[in-house]
Amino acid sequence: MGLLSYVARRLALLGLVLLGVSMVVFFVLRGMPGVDPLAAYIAPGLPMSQDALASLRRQLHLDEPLPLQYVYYVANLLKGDWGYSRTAAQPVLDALLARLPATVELAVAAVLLSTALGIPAGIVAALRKDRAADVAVRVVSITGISFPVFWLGIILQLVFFYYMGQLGLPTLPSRGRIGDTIALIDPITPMTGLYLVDSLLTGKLAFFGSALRHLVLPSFALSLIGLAAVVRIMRASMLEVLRQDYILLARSKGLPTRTIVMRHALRNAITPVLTTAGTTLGILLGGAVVVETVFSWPGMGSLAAQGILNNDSILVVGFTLFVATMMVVVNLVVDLLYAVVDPRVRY
Amino acid sequence: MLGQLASIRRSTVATTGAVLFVAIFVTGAVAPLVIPASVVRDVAFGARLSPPSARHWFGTDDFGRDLFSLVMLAANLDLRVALSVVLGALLVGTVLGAVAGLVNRLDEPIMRATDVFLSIPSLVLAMAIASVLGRSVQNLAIALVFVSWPIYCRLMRGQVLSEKQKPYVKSLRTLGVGPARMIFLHVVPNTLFPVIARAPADVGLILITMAALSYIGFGPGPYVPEWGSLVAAGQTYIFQAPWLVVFPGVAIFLTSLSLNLVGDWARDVFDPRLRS
Amino acid sequence: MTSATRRSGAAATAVPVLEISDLSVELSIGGRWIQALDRVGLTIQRGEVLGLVGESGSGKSLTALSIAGLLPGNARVAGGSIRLNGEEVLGKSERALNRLRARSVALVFQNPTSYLNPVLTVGAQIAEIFELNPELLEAAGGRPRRREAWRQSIEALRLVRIPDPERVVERYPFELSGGMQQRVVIAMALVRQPDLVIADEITTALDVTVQAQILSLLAELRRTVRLTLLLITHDMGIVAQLADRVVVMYSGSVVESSDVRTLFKSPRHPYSKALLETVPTIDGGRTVFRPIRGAMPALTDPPAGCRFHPRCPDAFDQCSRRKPERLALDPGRVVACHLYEGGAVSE
Repeated sequence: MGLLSYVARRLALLGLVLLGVSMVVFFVLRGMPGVDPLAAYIAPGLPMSQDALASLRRQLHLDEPLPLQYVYYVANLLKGDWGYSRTAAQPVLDALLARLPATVELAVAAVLLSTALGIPAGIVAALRKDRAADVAVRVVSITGISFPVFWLGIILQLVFFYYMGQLGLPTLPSRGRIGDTIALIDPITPMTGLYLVDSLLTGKLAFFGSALRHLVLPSFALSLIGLAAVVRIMRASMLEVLRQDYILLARSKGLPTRTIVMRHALRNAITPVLTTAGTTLGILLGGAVVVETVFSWPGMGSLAAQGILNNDSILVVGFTLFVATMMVVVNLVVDLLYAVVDPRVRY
Repeated sequence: MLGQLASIRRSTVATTGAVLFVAIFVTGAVAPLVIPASVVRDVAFGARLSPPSARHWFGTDDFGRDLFSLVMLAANLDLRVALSVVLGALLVGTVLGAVAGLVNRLDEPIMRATDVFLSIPSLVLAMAIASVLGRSVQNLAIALVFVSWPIYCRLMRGQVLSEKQKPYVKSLRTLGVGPARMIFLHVVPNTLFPVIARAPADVGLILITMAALSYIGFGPGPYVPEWGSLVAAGQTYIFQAPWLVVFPGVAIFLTSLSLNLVGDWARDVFDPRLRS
Repeated sequence: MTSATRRSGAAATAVPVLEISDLSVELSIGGRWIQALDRVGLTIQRGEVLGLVGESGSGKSLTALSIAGLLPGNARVAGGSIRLNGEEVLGKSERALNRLRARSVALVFQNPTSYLNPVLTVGAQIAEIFELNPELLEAAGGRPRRREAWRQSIEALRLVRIPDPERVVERYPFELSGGMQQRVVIAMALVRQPDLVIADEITTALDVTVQAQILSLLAELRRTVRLTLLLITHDMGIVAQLADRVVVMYSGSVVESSDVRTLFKSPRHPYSKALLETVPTIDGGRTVFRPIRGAMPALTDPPAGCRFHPRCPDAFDQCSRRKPERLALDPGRVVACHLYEGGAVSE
């Protein structure tokens, strides 16, 4: 019971935020002082007659008051009309959705990497506070945050593709999602669009292997910032929890350290990590733009990057809205996980 | 407060960071004075893509330009932009945050605004704003300010709200101290520290974001050196001349690292309650 | 649930359940090691209730934690011995200590709310004791361990007189009142059938009526399960109600120890006298308070000689020069005070 109303409340709040985002995005698109909104819709260099311009103005309701334009805009958004992208030569929403699976695959891999590595590292650092393991973990995490993600990607390519190749060692691919040969010889029929999932489902193991190898470098590059953040939070949170009275009581019961950490401490310590996961996703999606560009990964991010170069504001703005929606959804999921882990939150 | 600043000496880690940053800062400040502007425009085809040597410490790029000079000049631009962006964001954010904390009616709308801005990843939002404004360093800076102000706003508001509850504020009120005097002389000094504690790490973040945007192609042109665009330019020759990519990247990394080291210490000293 | 069975064959209770001799503990404060406990000694026989009395800061809790090897990180044992059923506790490995905590010594602390894990049900926190010590589950003829543990947890709640234990067992701590929470913690202690239960200010955080209930529960348990109890408190009233013998502590040392009746009738040490006088009386309709003037000295800056002398109405020159030794006045009667040395008694 409590859980249901909690979910409803969170949904309402997040809906409001989305509305706000659409307003900001709309303002950026149409209301920026000194910028002619029509410019975004016209391909530069393409001559258009006065009549064509006028009819375009009318179509976009550009002569109407701003609030009314906003209403039309939101109505279009909900209908699925997010504008047309010059760069993708497709409607924006279609272009984004087509490239969504690639970005999702990359982002999920990065999140999995950062939590799978970060949570244990943070726990170890907390248990061995101020000793060698702790210092090592903290050094790694602070260097991780300081790395520019795009540069890391390039260095990884340099080392694992070029230098390893030079030395005759097995290399990791540096471009794309899948080997060109495999894509030609033994392609899969896309179902979810997630190569790893689809190839497993259809039993095409060679394809799976190639897709996996292509995923390694970009997801590692993307995971580093998240990794550093997760480690710090996990460590700090765990230290805080271990100081609590109920841990003392658990120790006084004679429970071994492993049980205390896994059963008593972790459930209490993990909640800040979940919040971080929510914000980390945001940084991840931003970083995806760069990583996808570096590794020529055919996801939404690289498309948006091309859009910037092309001055395709409609695409870029559409991408922003899409990403904001994804963040909102993820935050909702995180809130739900909160309620599952910590019963006090439900009331 | 000076005492707290001096306590940095107790932490070797933070001191290293501070020293490193000061070194980079000085280099960047001095660069345009020491390096002739012609370095950026002169093409020396004979010395193209030469590896690091005694003459060219970082090697040369595909125009034969000395990479070391380019990286130093870029330090100037990057640091200037990053520092002014954070300063601008601090100003806007703290003012709005103080207003939100003090004026009840404006609290809700300002907070919703920060919610909205914070729900969009910084790089993406900066991209969106900059793409509409047009390609220039100033527009990039403006976009980045838009991206950074919400955090300071929130922090400041939280601080102001908790200060308001404190007994000394109530006693000042009963003494008849007017609201304006109270805000500026009493409340603000106490609230600023935790907010400022965030700034060093933020400068590093902005720096990286800016470099990333330049890397994608949104930075200044080839005649205005910037770390991110230097990396992008170097990527074409990455296998023949890896130094083109390595050195500018290391510069970004070291600057960001030094700022993070100082930032960690600043947070511990000025606001120990902040864990995340 | 009786505890007698394990020492089958042992004749008279010659071996005390707990014997602490000359225990000294130091705390690290501001980089220096400071004496927090100075040659503390006490003995508890099986089935006995020993009251350990003193103001906050006297070292009572530190003594309790030492028994279970749960001293905080900034504390170290500087000498002495703690024998539990004749076995030396100090110097044991962490694993051996865990075994001790699991079955021999059980602690109950002051504030039950902070000592119960907020994210686990009450039942889970009791049941895990059974999972740790399967021998406690009286062989239930093939029933799966988990269900049996759960069933026994419900029985444990019944033992501490919690109403409707089948429902309570599934509750989270925050759903229970302070009194119920404390009963749960007591249940967790009893379930282990320990040789010794240490109760550290267990009623201080509860209101008076609940306090009375808990005390009557303890009195009943004394009879039914032959509880051996180290009852730590600052409240002389509780001591009068439950204890057989009393040990009075001040600023890290034992100042007097005797059986309850004798102490209340004729206390020797000035501090004991003062403590007894702090119990408010009603004189002609008015409540009379007689607090002890002054405050306990900080550990970092103790007075020279006897630590109580600045607050002592009977202090003389010897008191500020030398710390008094513990003297046995009568069998079972120990006092540490210069007033009673070498016959120079001034009553």
